[in-house]
Amino acid sequence: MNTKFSLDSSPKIETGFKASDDYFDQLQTSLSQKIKEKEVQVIPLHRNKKWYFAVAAIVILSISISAYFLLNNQTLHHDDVEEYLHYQSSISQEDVYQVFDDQDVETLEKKLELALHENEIEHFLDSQNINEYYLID
Amino acid sequence: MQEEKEFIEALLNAKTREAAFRELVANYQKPLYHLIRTIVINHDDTDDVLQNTFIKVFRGIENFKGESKLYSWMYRIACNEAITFVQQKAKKQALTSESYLQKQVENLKADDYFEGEEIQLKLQKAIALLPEKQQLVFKLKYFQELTYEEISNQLGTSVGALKASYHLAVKKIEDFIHKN
Repeated sequence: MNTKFSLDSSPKIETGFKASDDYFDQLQTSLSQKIKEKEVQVIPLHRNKKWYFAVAAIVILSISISAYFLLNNQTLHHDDVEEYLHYQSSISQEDVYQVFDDQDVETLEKKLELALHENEIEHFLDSQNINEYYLID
Repeated sequence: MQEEKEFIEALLNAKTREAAFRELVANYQKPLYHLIRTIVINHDDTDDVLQNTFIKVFRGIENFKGESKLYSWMYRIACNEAITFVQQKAKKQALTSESYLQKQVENLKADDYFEGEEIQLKLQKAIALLPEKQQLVFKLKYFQELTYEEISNQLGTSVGALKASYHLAVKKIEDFIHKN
């Protein structure tokens, strides 16, 4: 008769796992070495130095970028120039004409032609009530 | 108890720490090796887990409050390390813990660090077929010969649940060995 296997009634079955004494000797040495390495690794000053360098680099970079944009954004707006000329009594229209040469006048004409159509110029002149100037001439 | 307290103080003292740690390793390496090996099966994996366990013990000794015995505390660390190791290895290979352990058992025949006979191999195969928790309970009770109370402290499971788990495990193992 085939009796059913029983763990309780059978002799204890061991795991069958083994490890040599050499292994345990080496483990001791290996662990002692690892512990020493871990202790040597924990040097806060060294770690902090790295952080100081990293933070210093970021600060310098931020200041440089900000300064670069600040210095390069000093362009003048047209409104500012107009306002300056208008309220600067020492500069007359004549002074402005004097600094214009032929090439400047041509460039200005081209820009005006591009920007304004004839109809718009006529409309502008009509609205400015300049007939009296024609009459005077 | 007084001896253990003095030993822990030696582990905490920078001057005596290294010598005390060597003594700790010498005293507990074998039982911890066998505990870990029953859980992870493979010798090389056991070596990794055992070394991690001792390193954790060394670094965490300051947090040991003395509420349990030093060995119980180390045993718990080793147990947790081994369980986590198996779960992580299984996850990396996209396997369940059970399938991963079955693979490890399949490799036992060719393992230089296994000297088991046919019955030992059969028992390992039967255990590997159990659900993860049942495997653990069986290994701690049968191989490690812990009491239910001790296992309950290690795993945080009630004694009643552990008893039921163990008896189910035994029944399945007996069936497997009987049929094979």
